[in-house]
Amino acid sequence: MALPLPTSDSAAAAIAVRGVSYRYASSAVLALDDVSFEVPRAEIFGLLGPNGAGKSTLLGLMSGSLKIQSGEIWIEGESLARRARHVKRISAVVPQEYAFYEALTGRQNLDYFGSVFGLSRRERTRREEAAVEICRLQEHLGRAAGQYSGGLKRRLNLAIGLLNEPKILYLDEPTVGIDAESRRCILDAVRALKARGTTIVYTSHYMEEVEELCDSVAVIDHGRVVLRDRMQNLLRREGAEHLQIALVEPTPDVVRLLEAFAPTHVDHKVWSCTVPAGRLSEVLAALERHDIRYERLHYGVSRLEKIYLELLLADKSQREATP
Amino acid sequence: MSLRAWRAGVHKEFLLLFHDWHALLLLFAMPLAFLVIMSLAMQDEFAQHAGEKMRVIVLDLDDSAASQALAAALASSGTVTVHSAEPGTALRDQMRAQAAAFGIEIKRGYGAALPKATSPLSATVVLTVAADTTRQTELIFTGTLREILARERLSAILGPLAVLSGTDGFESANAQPAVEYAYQSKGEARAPSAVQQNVPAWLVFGAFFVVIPLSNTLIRERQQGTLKRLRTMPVGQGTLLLGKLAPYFIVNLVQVMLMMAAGMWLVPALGGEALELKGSPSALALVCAAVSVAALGYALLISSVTRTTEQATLLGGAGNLILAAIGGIMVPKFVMPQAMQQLTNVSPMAWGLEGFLDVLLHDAGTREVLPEAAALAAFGAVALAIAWAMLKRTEI
Repeated sequence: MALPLPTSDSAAAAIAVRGVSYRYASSAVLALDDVSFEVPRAEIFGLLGPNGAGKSTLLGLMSGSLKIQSGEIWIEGESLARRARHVKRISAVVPQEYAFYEALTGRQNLDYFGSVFGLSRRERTRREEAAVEICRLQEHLGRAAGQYSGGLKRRLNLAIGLLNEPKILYLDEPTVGIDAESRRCILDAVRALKARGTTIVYTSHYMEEVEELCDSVAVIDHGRVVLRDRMQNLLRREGAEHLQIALVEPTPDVVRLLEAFAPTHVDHKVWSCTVPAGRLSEVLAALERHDIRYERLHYGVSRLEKIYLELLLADKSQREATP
Repeated sequence: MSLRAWRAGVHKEFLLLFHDWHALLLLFAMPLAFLVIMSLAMQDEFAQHAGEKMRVIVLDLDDSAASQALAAALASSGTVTVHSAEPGTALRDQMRAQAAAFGIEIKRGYGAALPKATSPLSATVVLTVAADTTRQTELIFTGTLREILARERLSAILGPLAVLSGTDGFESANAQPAVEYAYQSKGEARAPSAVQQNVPAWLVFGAFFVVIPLSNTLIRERQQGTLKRLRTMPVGQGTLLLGKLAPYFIVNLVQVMLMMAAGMWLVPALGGEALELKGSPSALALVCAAVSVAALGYALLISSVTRTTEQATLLGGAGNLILAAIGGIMVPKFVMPQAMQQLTNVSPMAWGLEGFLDVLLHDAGTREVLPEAAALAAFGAVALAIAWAMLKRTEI
């Protein structure tokens, strides 16, 4: 299912990764093997893959925390290898870990990381206020960060990443293990940043989230890019004859009716089944007849999770078949 | 280097340190407690030199049969080994060079004064006591010397008849030598005290304990992803590390001031002897700075070779105890057997202690403490360089 990579000029893309390989000193196996892709400006780019696939290594290389061993990475038209400090000025990472000092207050953390960027006091204060507002942290800055809930910690983690007003933002699983309110806050912040023109590389294991947010996506497995496409194209291409209904209330009567269409995937309120185009009107008529209410209905569009899992399975079979 | 980023790093490290009460207790309360307890417990009670006889250097300016007889009598007393002083070198320098416990200067006229019972021998026999000689040893040796001088005087007066008489009648004030102390270059007569050993010893020990908070902070930064985040920011490793080390350098200076103050005021308030600050302030500052550089290098090295705070605490703490044990911190060097005394030279804590003792006891100036300061600075620089390279290569 690996697709050909779109080609374009490195300078035009926000991020261009060309033939990058990486091997950790302690390992005999390549963590990344000849990886190439591009990320257009002001888009949210989903980087997916199972644990250990090479996502964090790729983020480490793109953000400059790891040194490039082979290949090239261009950020906003600048070579990362040659202009690392400049590239670091215009990009920021929000790691999966709570990468701040738990003994310090939220304000002290923001002050410290703002100063590391070399910002003047006035500029730092302005940017801190903007970051605090977008992450809704106003009421929590005076407390030690170690006392924050998981959600607040994630929001502080994100706020620190916004202090240099980055053109490129790397978000490594920013919503893992948090409450609904904080998740909503972070996703809103991501959308707002995109609207301002920030290019975002987004990794997550929550496929629904990636499907909802990302403009394009790459799947990486065993150090190689096995899929790269725009989200809409991917879901449409893979979703021929695929019907997805998000119900308002999955009552037993409704469930009985839908089971007649042999669902392929059921996730509480969200039902997926394969319906040939010629039978779609029959399904819609049945829904109408039984007055079944639904939040949304998609036809001819697959779900990312399904595509992702099938892709990894296919990749595994291919690797096992290759001597 | 970004000055703003460096200042922010210094400020952040201080904030982290002030939040860490365990670290503050370790850095300030622990060495202070050791200092006070050991100064009081060991007050004038340093153990005797063990395993070999004390060395005595005799400077015979009289060069008479009587003076030679005195040296021979000392040698045959069985408690000391007698060495003749080299001509042209000051007696105190020879004592220091040969680690002699005592020096005896027999002045011209000793032979003539000896048969005259009314002539005080303190005018012609001067005993110099090395700084690190204990009070007990000094008392025993002066008693022995007094007895020998009385016997020599009796022999000189009575000739062969002396064997028929006791020495009691001649062991008077006039048969006593003059006693001086080698650590005093300004003519003041004070014996070295436990506090003079313990203040610099526990000061050096405490300085090296920056390894625990410093390594714990760095390892936590690595574990929590903070270091990874910092690496993605436009700031160099040098700025980050200097921002991390500078506060601990200041901590070391505060430790020195605190320990000195404790030696000067707290220990005497508790019944011990007071520490007197002598020597050149610039030499003292040089030794302080050198000890701190060595301690910071050691701390950063431990931080770079360990992966968890438990490993760092164990390795750093145990390493400190071993360096202190062999470095003459816990047991004063001068009571160690010869082989152990040689071993102390491998511990940077011993170099620091020697430097402080040179300043506090021997009135040393900047030039005299340069060897110790240079050794400490070199140790610190090598450790920092290795740690720097290891941290640079670490994949996080």
